[in-house]
Amino acid sequence: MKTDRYIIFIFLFPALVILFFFKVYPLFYAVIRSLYSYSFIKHTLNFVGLINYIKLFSDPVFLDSLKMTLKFNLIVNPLQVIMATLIAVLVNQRVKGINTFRTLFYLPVAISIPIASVIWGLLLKPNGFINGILSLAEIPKQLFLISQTQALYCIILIISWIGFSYWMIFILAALQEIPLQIYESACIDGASPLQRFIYVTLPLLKRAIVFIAVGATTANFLMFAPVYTLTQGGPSRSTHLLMYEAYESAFSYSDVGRSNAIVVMLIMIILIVVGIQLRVLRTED
Amino acid sequence: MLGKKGFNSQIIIYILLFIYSLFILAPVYVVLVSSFRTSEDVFKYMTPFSWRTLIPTKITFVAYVDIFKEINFGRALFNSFFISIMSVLGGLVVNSMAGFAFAHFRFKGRDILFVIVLVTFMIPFESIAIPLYNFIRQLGLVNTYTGLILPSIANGMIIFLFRQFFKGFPQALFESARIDGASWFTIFYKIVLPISKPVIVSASILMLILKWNEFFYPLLVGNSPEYRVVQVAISNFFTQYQTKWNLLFAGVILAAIIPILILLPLQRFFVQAVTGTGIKE
Repeated sequence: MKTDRYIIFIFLFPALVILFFFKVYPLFYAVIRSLYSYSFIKHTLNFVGLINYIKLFSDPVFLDSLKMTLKFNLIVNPLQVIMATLIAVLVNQRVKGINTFRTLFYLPVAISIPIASVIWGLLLKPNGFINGILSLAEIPKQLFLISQTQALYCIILIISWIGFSYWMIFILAALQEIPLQIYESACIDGASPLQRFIYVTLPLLKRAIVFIAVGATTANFLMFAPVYTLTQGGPSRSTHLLMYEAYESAFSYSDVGRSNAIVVMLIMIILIVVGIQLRVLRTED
Repeated sequence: MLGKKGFNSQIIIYILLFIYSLFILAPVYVVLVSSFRTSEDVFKYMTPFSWRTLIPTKITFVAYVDIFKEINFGRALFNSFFISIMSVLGGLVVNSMAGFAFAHFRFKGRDILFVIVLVTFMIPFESIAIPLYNFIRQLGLVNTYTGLILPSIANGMIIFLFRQFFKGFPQALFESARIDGASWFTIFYKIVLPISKPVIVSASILMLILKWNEFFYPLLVGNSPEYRVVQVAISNFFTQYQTKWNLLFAGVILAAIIPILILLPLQRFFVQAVTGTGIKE
């Protein structure tokens, strides 16, 4: 069907322009800007090549933050993938009233990360609700977010409170596409529920699991909001995740080149980790 | 998994469901209850734990009143509403038209362009946040509604959603209209959109919730008291006002209630949008 060029243009132009200028261009700018350094003395932007990156590797703050971010992700990503899958299976059970539970389980998805951070930040206060419950079991008050050892785990808890429900959505959708006949034949073959789960369900969920693994990894490596709202990297830098360091670099130390270098490094780490995940999860066929 | 489950399995399932429900509900309930307390009472009953922790003996609305009087939360609410709604309206127009073009127009490079559009969706916001802020600053759009609304109007995922939906319409639908001399605009706005309610609902819900819950971008670009959205306001409030807890709880309820009221009844549409599965009636 003949369509005037300019009509196609009008239909596409607004979206493409916005996507280009506000998504694509900043990405390239980030990479290029990471190769420059601003001199406050001379008020000039100087090309310094990979210096920003090289300096990162001799910077104890960056290295500490890197170690912590890796540890954080090593825990939170598998945790979210496994729990999302288990909860999806739970909420897919055909028992009476399951729909109400399913609706309820969507609740955290409606809540944003900063709001969830504030909610849990209040619950985890030394004189807060969680300590109140613990006192029932005669467990002494925990410091939670002001404890060097516990703060990072608190953040893991907070983002997982939303994360479990969010990633569950994708597994649930995949679960609901599995035709019942497959289970029936497995039953006829005498498979136990656990066997059915491992040999029938899981393989069929592979694609969805890979999808949420990649999604969760990307989101969690770039985690920022809970740190900004609750701990500001503390106590004693125990929650100083890389994205927060990038933010501080730009807005507290005014070192935009370094800030972008950190972000680019984060992206590369994500690509590597995701690459490994795809390799590992794909070959298990 | 088939037919009626044995009694034992049912018990276990219900126990697990119940435990997880507690995990989800308890925080929200505690916040809700605390928002109806005075600031002194909020933590008075948390420890030691008693029935009073869960059920307030004196209910007061003072938090809800004060949050508007003392920290101008009303402004933040207005900002969130205005910015979210404008984003949805703009997004519906821009993304639906692009989706339609990808679905029914033929032009060179269409498929490559579409892939690029999808890829933009995968660019995580944090990676472009700081350079984007710089760009917005250069444009003089920091602390303006335009700056807060414009950049996120176009969304690769939403374009994908619309394209998938529109592909379901046969070309024949348009042929007779074209022969009669109708412009593509007429076809799009008078024929296609009126029968696209499901995808419009799904796209709107997704865009609304995403925009309402957006935090990092408004933090960078709209941190002044005039333009702050609720996410930023509450986040800042948490660090600044260390004593008026009940106000904070009230703010959280007000900020969270909107997306909750939208998501829960319309979850089917939200799930369809998020998983990109075929939009069904």
